[in-house]
Amino acid sequence: MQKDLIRQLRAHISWVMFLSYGIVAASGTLTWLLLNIYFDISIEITSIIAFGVSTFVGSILVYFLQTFIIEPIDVLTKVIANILAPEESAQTLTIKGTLLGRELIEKLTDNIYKLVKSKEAESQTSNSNARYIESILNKLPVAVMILDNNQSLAFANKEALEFIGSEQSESIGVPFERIVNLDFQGEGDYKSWLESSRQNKVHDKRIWNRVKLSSKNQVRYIDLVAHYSKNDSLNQEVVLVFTDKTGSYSEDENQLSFVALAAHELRGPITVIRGYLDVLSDELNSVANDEQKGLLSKVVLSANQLATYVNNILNVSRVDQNELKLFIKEEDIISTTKETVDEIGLRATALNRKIILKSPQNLPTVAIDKVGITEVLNNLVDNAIKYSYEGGEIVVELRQRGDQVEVIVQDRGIGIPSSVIGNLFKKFYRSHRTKGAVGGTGLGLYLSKAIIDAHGGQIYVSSKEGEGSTFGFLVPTFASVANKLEQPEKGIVRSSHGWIKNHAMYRK
Amino acid sequence: MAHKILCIEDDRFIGEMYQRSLVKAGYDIEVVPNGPEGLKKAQTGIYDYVLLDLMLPEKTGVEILQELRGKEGNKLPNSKILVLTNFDQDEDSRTAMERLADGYLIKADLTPRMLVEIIGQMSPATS
Repeated sequence: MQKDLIRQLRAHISWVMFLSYGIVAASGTLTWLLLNIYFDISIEITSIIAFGVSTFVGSILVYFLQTFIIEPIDVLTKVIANILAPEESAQTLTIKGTLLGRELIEKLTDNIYKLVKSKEAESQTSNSNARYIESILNKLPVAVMILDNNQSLAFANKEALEFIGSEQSESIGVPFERIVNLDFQGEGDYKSWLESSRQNKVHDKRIWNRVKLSSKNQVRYIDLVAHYSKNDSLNQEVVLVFTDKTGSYSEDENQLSFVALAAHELRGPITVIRGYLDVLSDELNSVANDEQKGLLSKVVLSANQLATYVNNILNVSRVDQNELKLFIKEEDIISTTKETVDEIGLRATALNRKIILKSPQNLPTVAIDKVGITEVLNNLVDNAIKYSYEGGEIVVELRQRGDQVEVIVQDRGIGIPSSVIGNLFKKFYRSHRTKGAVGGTGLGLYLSKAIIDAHGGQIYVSSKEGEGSTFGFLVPTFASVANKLEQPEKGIVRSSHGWIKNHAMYRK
Repeated sequence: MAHKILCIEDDRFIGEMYQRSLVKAGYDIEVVPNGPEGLKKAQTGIYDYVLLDLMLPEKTGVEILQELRGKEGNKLPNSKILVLTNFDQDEDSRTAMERLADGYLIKADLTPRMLVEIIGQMSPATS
């Protein structure tokens, strides 16, 4: 290759030499013609003079060409050839021919060598720097992944590769979402964070806890930290760091299934308490005085509350084991909401709160699991009661929103500080301020979100501290999803078969 | 004549509670606290309704259900069987049970008054 280069160069030089010879011949011929035309000299003498002139011109031309052009080019070519492939054409350099430009050429050659040397040194340092950093990354006991601007994997350290369960070569360049599946369990997910960061931020950081990571190998629970940089010059849009917390989090899961088991046991005594309380309220109605009736109704409400908590715990354990299944069918949202509000109204009245139901005369039917939506409504209204003041009003409002129906529960209570609002739908989360003052398991909103998510709906909260909170959810109208439901008529309640289940309407 | 109800229930308090309310509502009810005895009684076929608990000593409610309404066909065509339990099954076994029984109720969410109401709404197979 390098020899080709030199050969080509030599060919060019030959051409220059050939041209020079042409000039020499031309100068001889021209002299000969001029002497012949203007001077009366014998042809022999003319020829001798012409030959002399052309030899002279030729010598000078060759000298200058050789010294100023050919030799320097030759030297530089060899220098370059040496640098590019030292082993192939280890030529010793002699600058003997370049008399006049020697100093210049020497300097030039020197500079070329220096430049190359410093470049080499630089790349060696940066190589060793890169190796150094990679070695650190591989020794880290946390997984590190770097995603490029297309959200494809650009780098994964050793720990990360173990998470993914594949070789570096197989996964580099693969879109992140195809490598692992992340379940954020009720928190804002990675995708929406990335989208909002891309729109609003130059740099951004976010931490998630208790993320369920499934790769082709296994399922693990991790804590995840993500760093975003816009238009990153190294094409490193997102750096992800995660730690395996499967040990501690799955312990929580085990605890929860233990809790679920215990909750089942609690149902025995609850059955008897609620059953006999119902019997007593009925039978003592005519003999008890108002104060006694008041006391009894407080016992009834508390027992009902207890039953609701137990149901919540059991449902959460279902959510966590991915066993929450809904039986979605066509329902009337107005009557569903009214039944729930009527029921919980008893509790509200006992606690001196007033529930106001606002609804248009007609709304399209919705595709819901009635028991599930009743549960959600119960949780939202119950929260509104808990976190509002005595004598307060709670507004439950229904309205249509395109292909969805929106249910809004609004109170004018203590409100929620903006710092904790993002945590509300997390499992076991309870606002630290109210932990002591207000009872609850911290499961209601987590469960509500899981139920609404399973409907393909959305749940939201907005609040101003000191002014109250608004919780709301949207569920699809039946018409908008009817063709997507596999068997729209299928549900737990099958009146055609005489099938009976404790339906929401039987819950007290 | 009063409709006859068999209640297979090992929790004495719960059994007594249902008994009291159903008797008051005019039913003729018999409570049996274990599986084998319950199955034997049910097989006589004289009951209009069978209230069946699932977590029973010696023979579980599911086993009883299998024998009464399982592979060998419906041996109890004249009785309505209501499963009463506090142990929420996973959806699959619940669906399986759904095919065999006439109803599935969570006891903790069911007051005796509601039970009377539900039974009142079911037309007995014999009438």
